[in-house]
Amino acid sequence: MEQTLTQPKTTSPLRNIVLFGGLLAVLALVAIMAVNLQKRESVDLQNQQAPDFTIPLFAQFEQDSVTLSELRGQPVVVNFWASWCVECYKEAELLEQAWQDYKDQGVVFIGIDHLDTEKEALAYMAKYGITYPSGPDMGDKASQAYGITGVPETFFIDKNGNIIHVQIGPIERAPLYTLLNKLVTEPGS
Amino acid sequence: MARTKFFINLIFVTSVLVTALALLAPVSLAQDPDYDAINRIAQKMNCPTCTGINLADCRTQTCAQWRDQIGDLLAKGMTEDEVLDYFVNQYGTQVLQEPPKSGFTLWLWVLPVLMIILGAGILFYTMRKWASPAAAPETVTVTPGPTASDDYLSQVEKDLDFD
Repeated sequence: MEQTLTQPKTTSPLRNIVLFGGLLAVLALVAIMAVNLQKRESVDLQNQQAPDFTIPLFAQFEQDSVTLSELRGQPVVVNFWASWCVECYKEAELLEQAWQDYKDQGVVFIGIDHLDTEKEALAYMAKYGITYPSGPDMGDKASQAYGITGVPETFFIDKNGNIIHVQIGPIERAPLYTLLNKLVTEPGS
Repeated sequence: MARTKFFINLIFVTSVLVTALALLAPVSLAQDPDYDAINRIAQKMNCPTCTGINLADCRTQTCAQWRDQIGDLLAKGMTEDEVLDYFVNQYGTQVLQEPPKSGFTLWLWVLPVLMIILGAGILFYTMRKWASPAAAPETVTVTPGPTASDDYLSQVEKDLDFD
């Protein structure tokens, strides 16, 4: 007895290439989405470990650069600012005054100049009498690590390197001093 | 005599004018930034504080400062590439309108080309499939060997044989 059977057709190499390419494209899209999901905004950093950074300081300061991780054990206030930022003017003198009031208690203030030109940045610092360490954000790395959404933004970092508060926009005197009191009174580990 | 005096005065006035021009010319050149060069570089850069706007076209204070900075750097003798390198080093590659063709950003250049090739491949494959007549399935003739069930069936046929 004879039987007629139908054999499946063998797959063509072109079809395999197309399928493989499609799979690669999907994987690339998934990878891009995963990278985007990992990006955090500054507010997400509250109660998180502060990302480390090193910034060069403007020539007027004794030190060449400052690294956050080297300041562990001291409260740190990191202020992102720019000379073109109108809102930054509102808190500039207050921040300087606060630094003068708290530097003897070990609080470190760092200004990170965001997307600014040196000439205007130095003029801004002279105008508002800024004397705490400040420098340009080379390659915009610190701004990206902290996910800032604009300037000014200020991060209050405790002695253990945790961010206890993220201030978006200029800060007022009362909350600033409340936060600074909290930073100096909390024991470090 | 009067003629000689006239020529002496003419030479004196001319030399004073030439000297004055020679002294003023470099100053005026140094003071006037090359706006064409500034714009040419600015067109290759993004506004740092807004989205999708060219540095040359943006009217914000930040961009005005950056354009001044370009002018300052050109006045220092930097070339166009050196100015762009300075800005990339200072503010990162996102300042450039065109991402650099190296590192991770190379994918931004390669992926669209790959996608076009892939799309063309899919299109070619699909059209070829549509254009060709429905291929008849390949058939083979199989002659099965005797099995236990065949013996059983033969016996059943024999038993049912009414003739």
